[in-house]
Amino acid sequence: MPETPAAQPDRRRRAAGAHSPATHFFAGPDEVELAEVDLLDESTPPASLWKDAWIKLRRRPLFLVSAGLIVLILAVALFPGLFSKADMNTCYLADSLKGPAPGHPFGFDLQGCDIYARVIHGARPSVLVGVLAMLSVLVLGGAIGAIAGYYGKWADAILSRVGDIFFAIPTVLAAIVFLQSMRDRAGVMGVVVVLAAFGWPQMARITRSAVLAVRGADFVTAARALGVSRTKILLRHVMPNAASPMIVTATVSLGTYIVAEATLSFLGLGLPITMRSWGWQIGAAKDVLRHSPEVLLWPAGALAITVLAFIMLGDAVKDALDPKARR
Amino acid sequence: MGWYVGRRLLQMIPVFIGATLLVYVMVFLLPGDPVKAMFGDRPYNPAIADRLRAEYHLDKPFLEQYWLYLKGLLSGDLGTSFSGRPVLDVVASAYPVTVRLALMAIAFEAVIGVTVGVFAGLRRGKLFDSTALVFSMLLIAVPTFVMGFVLQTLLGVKLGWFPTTVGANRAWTAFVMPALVLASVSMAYVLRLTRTSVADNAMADYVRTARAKGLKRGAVVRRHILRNSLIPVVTFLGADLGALMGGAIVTEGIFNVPGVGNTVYQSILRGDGPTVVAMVTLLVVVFIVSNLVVDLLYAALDPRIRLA
Amino acid sequence: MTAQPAAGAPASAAGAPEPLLAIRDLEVTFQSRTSKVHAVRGASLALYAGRSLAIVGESGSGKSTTAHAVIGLLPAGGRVTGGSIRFEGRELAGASEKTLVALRGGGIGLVPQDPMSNLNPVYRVGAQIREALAANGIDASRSTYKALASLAAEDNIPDTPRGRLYLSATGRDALLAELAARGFAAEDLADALIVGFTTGIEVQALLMGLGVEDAAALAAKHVTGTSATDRVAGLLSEAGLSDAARRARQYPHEFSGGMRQRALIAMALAARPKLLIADEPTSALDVTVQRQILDHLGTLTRELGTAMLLITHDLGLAAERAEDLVVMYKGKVVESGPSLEVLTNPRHPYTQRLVEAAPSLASRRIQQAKELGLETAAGAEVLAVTGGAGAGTGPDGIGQAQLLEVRDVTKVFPLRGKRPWQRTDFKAVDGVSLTVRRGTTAALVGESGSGKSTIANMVLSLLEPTSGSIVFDGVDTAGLSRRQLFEFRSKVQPVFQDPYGSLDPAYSIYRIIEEPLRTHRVGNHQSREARVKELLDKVALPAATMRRYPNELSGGQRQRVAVARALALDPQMVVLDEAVSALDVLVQAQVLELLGQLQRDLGLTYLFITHDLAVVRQMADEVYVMERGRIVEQGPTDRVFERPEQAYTKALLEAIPGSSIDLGRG
Repeated sequence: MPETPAAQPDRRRRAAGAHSPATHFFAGPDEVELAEVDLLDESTPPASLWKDAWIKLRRRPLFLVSAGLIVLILAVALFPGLFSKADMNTCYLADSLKGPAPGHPFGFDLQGCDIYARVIHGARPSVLVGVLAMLSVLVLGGAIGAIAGYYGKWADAILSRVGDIFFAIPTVLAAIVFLQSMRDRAGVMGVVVVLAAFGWPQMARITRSAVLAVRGADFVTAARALGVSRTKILLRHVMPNAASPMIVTATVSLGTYIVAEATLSFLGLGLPITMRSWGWQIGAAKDVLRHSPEVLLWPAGALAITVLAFIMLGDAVKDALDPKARR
Repeated sequence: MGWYVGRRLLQMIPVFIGATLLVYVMVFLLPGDPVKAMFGDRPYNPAIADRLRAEYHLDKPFLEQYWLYLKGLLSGDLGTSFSGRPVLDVVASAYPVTVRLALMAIAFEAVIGVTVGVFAGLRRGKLFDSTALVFSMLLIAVPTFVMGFVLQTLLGVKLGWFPTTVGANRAWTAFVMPALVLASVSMAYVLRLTRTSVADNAMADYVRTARAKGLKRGAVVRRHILRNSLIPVVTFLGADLGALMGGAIVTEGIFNVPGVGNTVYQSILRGDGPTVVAMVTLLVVVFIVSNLVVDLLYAALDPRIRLA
Repeated sequence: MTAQPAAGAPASAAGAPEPLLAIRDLEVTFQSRTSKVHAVRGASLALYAGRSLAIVGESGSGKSTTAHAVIGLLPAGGRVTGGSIRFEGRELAGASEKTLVALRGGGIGLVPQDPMSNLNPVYRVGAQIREALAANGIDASRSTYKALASLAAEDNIPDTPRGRLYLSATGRDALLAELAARGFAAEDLADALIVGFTTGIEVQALLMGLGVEDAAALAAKHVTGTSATDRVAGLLSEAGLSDAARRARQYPHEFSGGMRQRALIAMALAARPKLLIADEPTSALDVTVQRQILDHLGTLTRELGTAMLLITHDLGLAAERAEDLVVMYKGKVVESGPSLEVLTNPRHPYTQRLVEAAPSLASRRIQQAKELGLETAAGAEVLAVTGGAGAGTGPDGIGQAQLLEVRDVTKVFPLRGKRPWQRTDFKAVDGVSLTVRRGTTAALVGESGSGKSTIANMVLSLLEPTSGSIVFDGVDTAGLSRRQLFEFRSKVQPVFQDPYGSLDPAYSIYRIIEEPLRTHRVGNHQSREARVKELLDKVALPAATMRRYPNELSGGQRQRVAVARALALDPQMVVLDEAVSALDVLVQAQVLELLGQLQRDLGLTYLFITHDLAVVRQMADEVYVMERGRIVEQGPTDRVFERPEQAYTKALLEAIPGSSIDLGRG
């Protein structure tokens, strides 16, 4: 029946609504193509969740900028020699607070040391502490949070209270007490240990709520009905689906641990002075801040850009992994 | 309601005991002899040292020391600092200063963070929103001590708008700069939280229903979007009070504020255990209590939360 | 009554009145950063004042988008990109926000889809309704009820402005007190006098009926108009909520779904709109509640003279509730016309498909075929589509062995009481017994909270019964050892409701279907892959599907994957827990057909759990009806549908949309 809408087949009027010209209209069959019910769309290549997120991420300027910065920072941290030939510990008091000179683009600090060289060499300890602290927190907080959220009941009650205890003490304060008692024996591991010891409850809370959200999902019940063991369900089904908030938190926390290390070093309690971390450099520069602010601004700028890069990455990853944007 | 508060108070007990024990362990068990430290530059005298050890119960086993301390604490005796001054005196002089600083910081967070966050959330994806986001990231990325020095140099020394340090000055103007610096990171979080919350709520079904009723845009924003979005923000601000008081060490150092952070820091450097333990214990109490208040506040703001 | 056509309105058919709402060639486009979707592509429809029209279509057909375009509340990114929307002759496409704000509430009201999310959780229900009155400048003290004048005329009461005032709470008390003092049986009147709802005219009529001499004077004395608070209570009463004054002071979370939907109806009608858009107003509710609310909505709109634009996915419901139908498919109108005409004589292939697949109609068709005593070709065909009912019509299969027997099972959940040491017990399942014969389908029907899913979980041994026993294939499942339980799991498999939640989003389809095989150490890598391909083929999905991920599949496809996973270990029984409830009509029919096919081919036994009786008719041999944890009726499907014994079963059957429609002989 290839009739056009104009030639309406039925012009019957309803008895009830004589004034209403409700007529039976239908579109020609060729006008709207009728698809097969529930046909699989095979036009796009298969993509897993993670691949999907990666495709989304790749297009985000925020991600491109932060990833570029992070690659640069990691390169500086791993191979400082590639970026600065000058020795950061060769200082001449005669150069004290001198401005930029050929081969010394940022000038000299109070002791006459090359600021550029120090900024370059300051990257490694900062990044090292940040990465190690983040990894420890991810493992410790992730494990505790997963156990609390997945097994619930007593495990949850006890682990949550333990988390509250560590959460109730301000991290920087605890770190100061701990590092002060350790005096000079702390080193990188000391700083990492104290940051992780007081930083895990936040990761545990986030993991716990992510695990709780996944625990009740139908696919978990389906796995139970298949006879998959509890531990295997936790590791193979629950954790991969609880990973996104953990990854986002870890990325951002990497930045905040770098700040924490800098704060401790600034107070003279963090890394050994010989490591010349950015925090220590800033602390050393504060006395000359009023007449030569650039001595402070270079290491501070490097620190801020590093932290900023990780926060931006966290934001970009969060958007890409956002379940609300999916589907 | 009553039962809920009761249960929360019961939950607070293990946290309180655990946290004080933790602090006690850190201060007293870790290497370094506090008595030796008390002598400072003076020559070490074993007889006086023994007397001091007895006075501060340092000759007793650790758990007994802790028990004696807890007992004193519950009867309102915070002990005596190694310098001989009652810790209560130290607390009484330091706490009001930090409370004032923290409250002012919260005010800055609320006013600036919430205002910018609301406008950014309502204009999601627009220029203002992007600018606000970058601003918030910078606030988080620039460490407090750098921000402190920059503000101190710029607004204090160069422009002379505010006193560079607080010291004995109790004028509100003296606290403006330290409060801003102290608030900076949290302000960024408040901004971001408000922004997300407002943007999410603006897309909520009940907002569409409110518009379908014929409400004007202004009324929809005020009555439906803002009221609902500010619930998580208010609770964040409440919980932040405890965090700010404990996190004021660097800020108080830079602006020479004679508050908790400064006092604790100096006591740690001096190895003055009783003062450190007492100050941190009180911080823990502030933290726990402010979290309880936040939970109650949450229930008051959101009728869905049943306190049972 | 109808507004004057505005200048420039398109010339309508000579003599015919201007439609209240006229949509012509409407185009709506959703634009995101990366893509552009044409949600509505040239849709046209006309709705006249006081009449009702339903837009029917599956998800993604553009039906809701069309409705939202009318009220100017398209979701973010959506824009009207062509065509026109005329309301009372005024153009709404591209109209200013100010024009639209003025129109919303008073001109066009909206009853939204999901009652759970459409009320603001932080305000009392009454306050949210009062907002609707205030926003539209409604005088809360008097009525604008259209039929009032004719009602007044019936009793020879003059229709005066005074007579249109509402009865207030204090006025009602005083009136009842005065009547009691004069010795009248005031209690009889108490129920009829509704605060904020009954008008002076009606009070006068009631008093006259009671034999009060000075009815007019007494009514005038006590009926003096209401405050907004009383009127809000009146609106809630009008929407069918009892104890309205107290309810108005409660928060949304204290309301059930049905009560919230009534509150939303009260809100949408508060400003007496000329057009009411009802967007799937009941799809989130239980069937019996759904029916009450639709009945009420119909009555109200008729009495108030409000035109209704009903959006629904259910053809049977649409035909029953609206005078005219518009069928939308992929953003276009494929067919429109008077409801019965479209239903009985569908002309477009898509509509024909829909009419064929709609479970409410299919079930009705079987019913009618039976009633007429006709084994018509059509009826037999419908029965044949899904293997189940066919088996049921056999000689009741007495010889078939029982596979599952649930014996007097009770499940009690402890709930925390008001005080920490108090526990109150909640009996989710209360002494339930049922049997499922091998190779047949038993349906467990009930509304939300009836305990049917708890039974499913106990049958699956995911939950332990508090008392009673579950015997599967002659063995009590309670006494199973770890080893035996693991074995048992391969024999009984579930398919769940939510096609978005039942597949692990991080797993590929291959891993999802292979997981049962790997867990039970069946075969090696190659044989497992061959088996996965075979299973996909069984559920009519191409083998290439196995490289995809759940988020790439539609709801129906996911559900088919879930069926494939359930079948991987060759189970004897599959527990289908609302397995097709979340699917679109056509997809639902397809999955049902697949399930019937599989049952015939593999000799499967189904325990089919659902709230939807219409689907049961097509699927089940035996029906168990549950209400509040108990089985209230059981029997062969035909018997239960033809001669229901319990009032609850009757109510459920009557609530199937479209059950009142005479399909003729189709």
